[in-house]
Amino acid sequence: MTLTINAHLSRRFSWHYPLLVCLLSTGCANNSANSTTSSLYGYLQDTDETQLEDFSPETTRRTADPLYNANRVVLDDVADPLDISDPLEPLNRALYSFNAQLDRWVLMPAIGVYQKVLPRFARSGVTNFFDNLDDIRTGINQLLQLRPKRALQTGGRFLTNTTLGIGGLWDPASRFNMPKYDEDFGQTLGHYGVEAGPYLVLPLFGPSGLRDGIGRIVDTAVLAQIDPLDLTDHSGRGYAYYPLLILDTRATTAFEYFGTGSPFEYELVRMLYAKKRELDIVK
Amino acid sequence: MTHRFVSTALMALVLTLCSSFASAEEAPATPSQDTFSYPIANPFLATIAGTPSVLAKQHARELKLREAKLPEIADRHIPKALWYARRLQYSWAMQDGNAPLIFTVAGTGGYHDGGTNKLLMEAFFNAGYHVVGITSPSHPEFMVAQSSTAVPGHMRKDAADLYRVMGEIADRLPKRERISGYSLAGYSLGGTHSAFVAKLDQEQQRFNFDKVLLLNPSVSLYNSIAKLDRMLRNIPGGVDNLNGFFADVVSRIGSVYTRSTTIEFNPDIVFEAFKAQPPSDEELAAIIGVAFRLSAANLIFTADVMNDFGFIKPSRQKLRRKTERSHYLEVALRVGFTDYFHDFFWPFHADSFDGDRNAFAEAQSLPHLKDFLSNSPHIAVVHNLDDVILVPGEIEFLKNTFGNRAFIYPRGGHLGNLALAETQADYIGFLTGGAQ
Repeated sequence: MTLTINAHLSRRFSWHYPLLVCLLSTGCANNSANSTTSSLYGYLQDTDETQLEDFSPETTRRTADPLYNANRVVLDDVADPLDISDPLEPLNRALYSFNAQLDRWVLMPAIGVYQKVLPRFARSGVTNFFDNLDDIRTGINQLLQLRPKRALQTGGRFLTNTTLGIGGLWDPASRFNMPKYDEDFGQTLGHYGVEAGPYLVLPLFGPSGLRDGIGRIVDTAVLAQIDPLDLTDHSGRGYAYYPLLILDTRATTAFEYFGTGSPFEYELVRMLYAKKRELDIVK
Repeated sequence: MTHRFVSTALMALVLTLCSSFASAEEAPATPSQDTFSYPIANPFLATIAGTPSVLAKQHARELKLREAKLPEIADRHIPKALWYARRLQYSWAMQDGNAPLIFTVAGTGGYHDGGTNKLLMEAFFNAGYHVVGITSPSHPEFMVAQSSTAVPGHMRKDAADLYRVMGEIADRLPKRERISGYSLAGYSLGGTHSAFVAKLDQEQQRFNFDKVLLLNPSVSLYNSIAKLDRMLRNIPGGVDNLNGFFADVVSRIGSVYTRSTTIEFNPDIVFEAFKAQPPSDEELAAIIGVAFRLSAANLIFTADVMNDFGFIKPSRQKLRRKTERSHYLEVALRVGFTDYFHDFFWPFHADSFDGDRNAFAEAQSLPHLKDFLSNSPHIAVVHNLDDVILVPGEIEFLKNTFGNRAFIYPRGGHLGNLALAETQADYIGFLTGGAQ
C-alpha cells in the first residue's frame, strides 16, 4: 500500500481563507444538482451514533462483546503510534467524508476541465507562480525561527524566480540548485515547543490540528497584510487568483480519497499527518 | 500490497545492500543459479526491492489504462461506513486490432491497478494482448461490492465471484468483437485464485482459457498465512513491540528526512533511510510482516463489518461514517491471518463445508487441484526457490505437478523478479507459444 502524505490540500490555502470558503460554497450551489448539495449536507447531519443497524433477521439480538476485545488484546500502558489526540473525532470524520464528497463532485471534475483547457506548460507556469509566492511565507517563518542562513537562501530563491523567472512563472532557482524549503507558522510554533494539540480536519483543507490551524490563520493574516499581488486594490485579480490557486493545489497533490482501500484510512492519514508534522518541525 | 517502488534511488540502495548481504548467502543450490540474471540473493530484500530498473524489461509501448466500475448489486446490504466501496472498479486497455484478452488478478489486498498488476499488464499488452486488471477478492472494495460472502480466502467461492465479475466486465468492454480469445494470469494469492478459476472455467466454459499463468502463487494458503504471521516475530521484542518497531522505522526515516533538501515524504525516503543503515534480515522480514498485517487488518475488519460477525467490532454495534474506530485498528493489527482463519473464516464457512478443519485448510491449496493441474497443458506456474511465502516441499510439489510447465528460479523472493527481462521472456513465451 502506497501512501503519499504530502497530505493533502497544502498550506498554500492559508491565503484569504474565509474568502475561499465563500467562493467554493457559491460555486457548489451554482454548479451541482440539488441531490449533491443535500448529500454533502447530509454528512454533517449524520449524528446518530448509538442506534443499532438493522441486521435482519435476528433483530432482537443485543450488542455483544467482540471475540477480540480491545480491553483484552491491547495493553493500556503501551504507547501506540496510532494514539493521537482527537477529541473531536466524530466531527472530524464527518468533515473527512464531506471533503471526500467535495473532492469527488466539485474539485476533481473541475480539474478534469482545467487540464483539458490549459496546456501542460501553462499549468506548470501556474504551479511555479504559486510555489514562488509560498517562499514569502517560508522566508518569514525562517526568520521567526532564527534561521537567517536559510531565510537568506529562500530570499535569494524568491528574488531569482521573481526576476529571471518572470514573476515566478519559471523556476530557474531549482536549475541553479538553490534549496527549496517549506515553513509555516505552525512549524514555527512547534519549533518553540508548542504541542500539536488536538487533531482537526478542516473543511476543504483537510488534515490539520489546533496548533497548525492557528498557524494557518496567522500566515493568512500576515500575507494579507503584505498583499504581494495587490488584491485589495485590484479585486478583479482575485477572480483569476483563487480558482487557479485551488485547481493548481489539488492537481499537484497526489492524494485520492479512499484510495488506500482501507476501512482505517482516516486513522492512517491522521497518524501519517502527525508524523510528518513532527518531522517537518525538526527539519 | 505494493512491493515495488522501483526508482533510481532504489537502484543505488539495492546495489549497496546486495554487497552487504552477499557474504551471508549460501553456496548456489542449483547450476542455473550461476547464470540467472537476478542479482539480489536475499529473499526478503528481493521481496521489498523488486527488480532493479536497469535489469527490468523495457517495453516499447506505454500502457494507458482506462478505468470503469461495475454497477452496484441491487438490494445488497452495504453498511454506511463502507459506502465508498459499493462499486467494484476495474481497468482495461484494448489493442487496435483483433487480439486475445488476458485477465490479471491481483494478490492479497491488491487493487486492479496496483504496482505488480500494472507491471504484468504492461508486459501482456506489449505482447499483443487486450488487458483487464481485476482487484483481488481479498481487497475491501471487492469484498464490499461483489463478494458472495465477504469472508474471502475460500478458494471455490472466491473463484465463483471472480468468474462472475470477469464475465460482467467482458460483457461491458467496448469493441468486444475484437477479442479473439481469453487467457488468465494472477500473482501471489491471485495466482492461487487463478488455478481455481481455471478449474471453474473447465466446468462452465464461459471463456475456455487458452493459457493460464500462476505467478508466485501461494501453494497452501494456510502455510503462507502462518509463515507471514511468523514474520512479525522478527520484530525485536515480538509483536507486542509493534509500536516500538514502528517508531524505530519512523525515526530512521526522520533522520534522513531532516538531512535532505527534499520536501516530499514518499516511499523513496524509506529506502533512502535503509540505505544509510542496511536493516538486518529480521527487520526486513518484519517489514514484510507488517505490510501483510495491514492488509490482514483491512480484510478482517471489512469482513467483520459486512457480516456483523462480532469479531473485532461488537456485533449489532452500528458503524457509521462518524463512528470512532481507532481501537478497532489497534486490535486488528494484533490479530493475524491465522486468528482470522481459526476464529472467523472456518467457523463462518464450516456449515457449508463437508469435512473437518484440516480438510478445509487443504481445500484452500493447489494440491487440492493436483489432478486438474497436472493434466492441464494450458496452465503454467512461475515461482522462486527462495519465495518467502512457501514452506519446504512446496516447490517439489510444483515441479512434480507441472513438469515442464513449471518455471522455477533460484532467486527473487516473493514477486521480486517478475519485471526481469529473463523471467518475462519465459512466461510471455509460454503465453504466446503453441500448446505444450
